[in-house]
Amino acid sequence: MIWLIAANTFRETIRQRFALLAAIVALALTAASKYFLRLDLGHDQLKFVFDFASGAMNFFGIVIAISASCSILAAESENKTVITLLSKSVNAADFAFGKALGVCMALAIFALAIFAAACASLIISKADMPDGNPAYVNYAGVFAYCFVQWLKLCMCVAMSVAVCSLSRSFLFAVSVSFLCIFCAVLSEALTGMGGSSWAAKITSYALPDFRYLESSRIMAFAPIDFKMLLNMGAYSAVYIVCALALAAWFYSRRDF
Amino acid sequence: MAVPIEVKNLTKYYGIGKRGMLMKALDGVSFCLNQNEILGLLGANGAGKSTTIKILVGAVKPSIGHALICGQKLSKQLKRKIGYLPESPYFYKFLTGFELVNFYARLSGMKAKDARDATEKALEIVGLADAADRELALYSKGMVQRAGLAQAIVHDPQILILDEPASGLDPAGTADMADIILRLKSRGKSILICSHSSEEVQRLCDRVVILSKGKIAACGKLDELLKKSGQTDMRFETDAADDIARIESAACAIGVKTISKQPAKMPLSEFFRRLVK
Repeated sequence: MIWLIAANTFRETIRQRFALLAAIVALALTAASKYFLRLDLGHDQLKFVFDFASGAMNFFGIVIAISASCSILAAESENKTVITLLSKSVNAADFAFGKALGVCMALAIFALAIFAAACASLIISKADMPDGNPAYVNYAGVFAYCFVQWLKLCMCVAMSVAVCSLSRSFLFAVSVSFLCIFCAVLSEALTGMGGSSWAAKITSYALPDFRYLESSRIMAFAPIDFKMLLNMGAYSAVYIVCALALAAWFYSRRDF
Repeated sequence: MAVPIEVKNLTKYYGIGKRGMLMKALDGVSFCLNQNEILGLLGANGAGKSTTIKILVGAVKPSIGHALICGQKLSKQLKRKIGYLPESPYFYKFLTGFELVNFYARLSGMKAKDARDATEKALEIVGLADAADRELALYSKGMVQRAGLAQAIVHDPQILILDEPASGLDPAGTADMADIILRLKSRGKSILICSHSSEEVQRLCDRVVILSKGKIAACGKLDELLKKSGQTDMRFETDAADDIARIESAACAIGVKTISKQPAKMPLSEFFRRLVK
């Protein structure tokens, strides 16, 4: 059941005009990152291209992950298609996991496209560099980094699905999801600022630590650290499963 | 054998925004749908029809009481015995009619090949075989309603729950829908119809449950509920004016009063149906 719902949601996601537009802008920025070099403030040329691609993937990826999940789930409730789905052999867990998986599948395509665009940009930039430049790019490491970023986007999707399970309006779901991501990005800083404040501690435990996943960027210019990759995968998987299990629990208790 | 649907003391409260304020949408509703029967659920807006149906398909949880399907509480497996047509169905517009019905067939637990065959058959039954490859965005409201019925019957369920089946259909479509429902009954299905249209219910249903403000106002066989005590209606058909005069005088002679006399007319829906067929 989960696969059927996921496949249908995947089709729904790739047809979303806003998501498609955001993906195209992100790809265009990544492909053209070489031409933004004049914005560079003293970085290595290749590092700048990579950072630019990574920034585009992060920003637009999060926008797509949240907007697509929230709009698809809000539409299910508003159009009451969820009632027809639940009248079939589908339970709340199938629904929550299927919907999240569908959006994650679309985001995997997005991450792969960004990876291809980033590699192309890096290859072109490297070819333009003077001979004998010792710059080293590990393309497998770039792939590993894109994979970790995709896991991060999947965490955003899971978080949005959990928020949607408690919300009845698209606007509320989107706002709260973005707030959660904002807090997740700043969770470490929040704990630092708040010291032993219980609110800061709860926030840092409840929300994923995106800074931890960011450390995977070193793999683009160094050999792949498989232990680190495995730890990040496990960390993301635990968070995703917990968030979706919570969403399924809320959906199973919700009246449509 | 357990009855297809048994509703016992169903009560549902909804929160209405203000803290702690609850609204009673259903108040101790009990009824059952028997084997191979068409039961009509009638009521004004807000009477509790949709809430009852949503509880039956598992989209709403009852506050008190329960609804049993074939003697058991609703489960993932048991849902395969139910076909549900929502009121004013809205489906994924990017799917074609075939893809939509096939998707719901698969969700009902059918294998890929069986689902494809069943989808073709269901679309044939509802008269959408020619439009099967068209996207739902291009369907008229009536066609979406038919697609909704196709997804409800595609897995050959024992019980059908139809919420306003004729909603959005023209008179010809309404008549076709009624024919399909009667055919399904003749194939042994048990059908619960929720409707505002008393004409539709009168034509199709064996029994009715009338809800008012969340409670059962009346329940029983239509003939028994609609019977006027001590009165009999008679209709005669004749082209000769003399016959009418003779009947009137004969009635007058035995003290029977003629209440109304008017030229026979066919209902507008039947006239429309004859024109468009």
